[in-house]
Amino acid sequence: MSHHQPIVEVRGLSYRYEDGTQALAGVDFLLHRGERVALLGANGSGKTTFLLHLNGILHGEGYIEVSGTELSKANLKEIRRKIGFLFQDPEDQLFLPTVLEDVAFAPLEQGCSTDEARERAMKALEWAGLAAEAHRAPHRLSAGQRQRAALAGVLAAEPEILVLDEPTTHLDPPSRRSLLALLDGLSQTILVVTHDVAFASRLAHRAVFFERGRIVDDGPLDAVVRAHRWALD
Amino acid sequence: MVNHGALSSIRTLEDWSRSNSWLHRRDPRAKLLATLFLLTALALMPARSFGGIGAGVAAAVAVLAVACVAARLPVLSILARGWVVLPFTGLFALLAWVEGSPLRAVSLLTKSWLSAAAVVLLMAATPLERLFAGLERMGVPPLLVSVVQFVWRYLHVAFAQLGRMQIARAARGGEHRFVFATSTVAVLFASSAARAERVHWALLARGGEAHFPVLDALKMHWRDYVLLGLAVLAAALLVVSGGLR
Repeated sequence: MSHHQPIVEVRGLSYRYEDGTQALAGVDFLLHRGERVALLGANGSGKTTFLLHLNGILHGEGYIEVSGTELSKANLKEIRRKIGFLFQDPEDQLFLPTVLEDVAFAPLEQGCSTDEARERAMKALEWAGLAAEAHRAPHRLSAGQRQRAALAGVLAAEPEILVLDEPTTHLDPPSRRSLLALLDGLSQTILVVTHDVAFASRLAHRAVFFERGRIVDDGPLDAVVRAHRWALD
Repeated sequence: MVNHGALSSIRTLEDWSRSNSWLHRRDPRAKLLATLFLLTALALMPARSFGGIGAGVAAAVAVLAVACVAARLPVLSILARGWVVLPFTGLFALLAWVEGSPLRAVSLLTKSWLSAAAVVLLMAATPLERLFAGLERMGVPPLLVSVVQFVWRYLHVAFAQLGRMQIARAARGGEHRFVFATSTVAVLFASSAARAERVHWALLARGGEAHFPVLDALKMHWRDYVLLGLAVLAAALLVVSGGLR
């Protein structure tokens, strides 16, 4: 795939929840390889619902293509391998008894041998500064450590795209800095939903703004933040 | 906080399970089977006289104490944790006593206590993930093992939420305990259902299905068979001691 071809292409995506709420109403979106894009917008504007469509967890109407492959039921496993999803609350993501088992989960699911899975997991944990915590239970970690463990679990799967849903919600400033430093060193394409404008401006250059299930603005992050008065000051 | 005792007790068990002793190093399947032998022996232990029950209890305590030493675990703490079943079995023992069967009442209490202590010892001597791996290798349906794994993992999260709700109640005056208890159950149920959906999403997003792959390779060594042999002998000792008058 050439550098200029989009790694994610979404056309006319619409989704209505079972209670009738129109969460997405015709979203068009392009993401290019290596880009880092922040998704901004009010609570309930459709940002997370949009993300959950990219790896086929929710199924709306419209066209989605990831890394040159159209999303369909038949290739969900392949698409999910390409997209690493970091959920807002790491408790939702760390579901195995120890950190090591959890981080090795995706490699094992991908068919790696136990030795290879362990090696990839330990490498990811070392990268996240958590090698010493490998045999601890997730509930014994601090909030910042849990978030980094969840991120290590995502990266152990070696995805092409990282999707982060409000990753700083549970973090204090030092943990935010530590997460930012880790993310900054990655080569993956990154899509991040956040209300934390300071964090977004350190990580991304482009932003899209969601309003009532639509993207109403797309451009340089500073300009989008100013246009919608999205910063505190 | 009401729930801190239970949580810290669980955490102590987790810490103990990470030790390195002769018993900790044994294959989890050997330990599961050995525990099963002891539980069966305790269930079969005759209760024909108080003397017999006393001899059986003494033998069982001796067996558990030896196992604790082999696991470098505190004997008294392990035995004390067995009393966790008392609120459940105590009621049945009381009924048996009232019905005029004190022998049955004492037998029920002691057997349930010792059985619980044996299970506590198993958990204190085996890291949880190895216990689950052992269960799965022994033929327990993977779905059932996954459910138990989820319950264990999210019990901590539910306890933490309960703790926050108790603090909130105290901060707002702390009255109406019954209303708080009932609404707490409702809120915990609703939030657990919402979390279950999010955990399922995370499972799918990470390429998983209903079954967790096992990272640890298990292999039975001759020492594991020695443990099984010792467990059979200990089980026989319990049954014979319980039959003494």
